[in-house]
Amino acid sequence: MPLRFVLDEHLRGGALWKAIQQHNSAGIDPIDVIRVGDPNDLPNGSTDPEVLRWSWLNDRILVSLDRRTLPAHLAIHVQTNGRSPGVLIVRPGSMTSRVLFSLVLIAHAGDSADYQDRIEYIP
Amino acid sequence: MKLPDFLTRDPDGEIRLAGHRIGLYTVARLREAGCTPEQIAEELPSLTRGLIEQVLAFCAANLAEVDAYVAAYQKDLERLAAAPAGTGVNKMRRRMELLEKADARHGSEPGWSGLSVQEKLSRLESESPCEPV
Repeated sequence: MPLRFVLDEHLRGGALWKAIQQHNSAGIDPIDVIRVGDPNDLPNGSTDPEVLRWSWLNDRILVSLDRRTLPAHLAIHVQTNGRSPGVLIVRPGSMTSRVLFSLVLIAHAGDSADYQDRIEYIP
Repeated sequence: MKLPDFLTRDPDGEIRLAGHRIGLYTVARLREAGCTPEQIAEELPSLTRGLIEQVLAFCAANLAEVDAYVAAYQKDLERLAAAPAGTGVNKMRRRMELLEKADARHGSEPGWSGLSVQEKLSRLESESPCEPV
């Protein structure tokens, strides 16, 4: 099953979300992405622990940007709950097409075990 | 730095816009990059235009402190990003490079652009069985 993602509130608008929608409309290797603020139980303004818990319960890798607090909160989350599908941080200034390609490759050719409990930087 | 009520400091030291996961750092970075309030609103659509204006006015009124906060934050992000990549990301980067080269090589072939990532990787594997994909 392809890996799934939840985009952080910082990434709700902007080029990446538009690129994902455009990519998915083409129909080849669509990626399953929702955004913080979309589900009723994951509102904008949720704290890091709340977002990490939601991503764990819903088995979606968190894709974030500009959050220096996530590594420490992920470590606490893993200690408390035992598992996280992982966190991907988009490097500032990255080309949108390469970030999108990273997500497509991780979703369709990635192994969930490689991302569990880890923070990784993409692309 | 004394914060107005539209900015909140979390126990972990993060300054964020009240009611949002978006930090002062993110808005200050966009401001530094020369984004207009309209562009910031497009990038961060969960923020109201009024809140963006308030944060930008706060940045302008507290320039030295905000600059110091942004510089320290940036250093933290760079330190974190310097951690070595794990197996999954290294594999992903290798495949990205292989597929970009393959797209340049096979792009004009009929049907190539309609293949899925897995189909392209399988084809590359059969072309060069000794090279791991």
